[in-house]
Amino acid sequence: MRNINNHRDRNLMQMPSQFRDRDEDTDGRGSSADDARSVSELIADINQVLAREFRDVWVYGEVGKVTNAASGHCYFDLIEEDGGEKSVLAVKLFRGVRQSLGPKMKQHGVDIVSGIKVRIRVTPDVFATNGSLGFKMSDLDPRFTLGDLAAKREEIVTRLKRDGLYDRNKRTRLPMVPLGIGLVTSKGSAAHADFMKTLEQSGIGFRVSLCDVRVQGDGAAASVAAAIGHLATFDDVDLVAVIRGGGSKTDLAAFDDEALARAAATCAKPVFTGIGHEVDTSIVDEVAFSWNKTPTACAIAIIDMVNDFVMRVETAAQRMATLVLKALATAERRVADAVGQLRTLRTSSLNGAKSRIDLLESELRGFDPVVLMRRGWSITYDKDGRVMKSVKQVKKGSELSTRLADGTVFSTTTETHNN
Amino acid sequence: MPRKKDATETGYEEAVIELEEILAELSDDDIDVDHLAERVKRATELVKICRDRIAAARLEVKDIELPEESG
Repeated sequence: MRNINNHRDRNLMQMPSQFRDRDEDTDGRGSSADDARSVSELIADINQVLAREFRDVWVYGEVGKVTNAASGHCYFDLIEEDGGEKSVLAVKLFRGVRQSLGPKMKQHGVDIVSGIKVRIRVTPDVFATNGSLGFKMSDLDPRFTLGDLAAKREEIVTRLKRDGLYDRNKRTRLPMVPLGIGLVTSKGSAAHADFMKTLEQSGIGFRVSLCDVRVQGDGAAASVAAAIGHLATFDDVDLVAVIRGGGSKTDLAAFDDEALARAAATCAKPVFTGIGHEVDTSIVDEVAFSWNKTPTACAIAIIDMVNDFVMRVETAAQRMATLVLKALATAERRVADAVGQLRTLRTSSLNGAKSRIDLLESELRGFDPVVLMRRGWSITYDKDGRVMKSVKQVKKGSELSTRLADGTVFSTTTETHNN
Repeated sequence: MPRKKDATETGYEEAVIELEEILAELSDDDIDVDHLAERVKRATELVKICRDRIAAARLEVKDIELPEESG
């Protein structure tokens, strides 16, 4: 406030003669009617003075309400709040300026969104249509915004650590087979589509409970926080996944919101993120049980856990089949020995032993890998007959055989990829 | 209204642990055939529990509305 007043005082002192002279000539009688100007002339004169006196003025404050007009112009409030006192400037960012600043803003990941701090260059301007004073924005200092975001983040992280919340979600218990997914996203977005497509392709019977929320702009943080809290109350939700597509740093500001970070940290279920920014992490990412770069990566992380379990079960089933076959062979040999040695044994007893073996054989069919293979599963062996469980076991040039339901495929490895 | 889990959904972890315990038992060369039959029957059930829900079911999706006061 003090700065503004100083400017005003200085401005009055330096007021051009066409204004000052009239004030000085009045000696209480007011200016001469002959000197009257039309409204547009007066506005033009004022704007001329303002442009000259306030050329290259930089001002900083917090962005308040933002209106993006269909014309491409952007109107926003620049706010300073000091205790209970609030000062507001109405700023206009015209389409042309916006386009010329576009590359710089994109490079630094800064955009004009509510709640961020900006340092901008403005020119005051009386708008002829309604006589209101506005400020035309002509430049922006992205380092100021980024510095403020980083400082704010650090403060929030410090408070979360102080309150013991920073690691809390990481200590929640994740079921071994998380099939129940509470999904927080904007329904119909590309992020939503990517996540669902990846789950669907896995062939695993996931149950998704979807909460449609706003993921950017006003109210986004509160909406995501409410959805996380709500989904965590469902018994059939094993984890909560928060996903959205990429965006600028300021666009993702909702995910640096303290209340949202607290909601994620205190969520009773593990929180998985896929908030779509490659370089930086948000505070929500930091406190989450599992941080993933993209919605697709988030889905893959969940699928991998289920697949680990499936692999464990199938390995056990395979080993079981081998052990039982061995045990049966031993048992049959013992029966044969018994027949040979105990000629007095009654036939009915022998039949009893035989029927138990038949029962075992029928149970064994449950472990037959061919049943699984008909569903599309396969088993890959190396040339020594070892089952391949990881790409790490396979090198370029390795000879492999893949057993399918109706035959075996022999192949040579040209390359491997991790999931 | 939150849905309660059914019996087959709660037991994945317990099932695989029991399965591996049975496996350890079956590794014993002197296992009795009657006991073997009983353990294999149980193991079959466990494998079925683990496989059925994961691989056979389709992806299910349901929309959840936020309660008024929190939305």
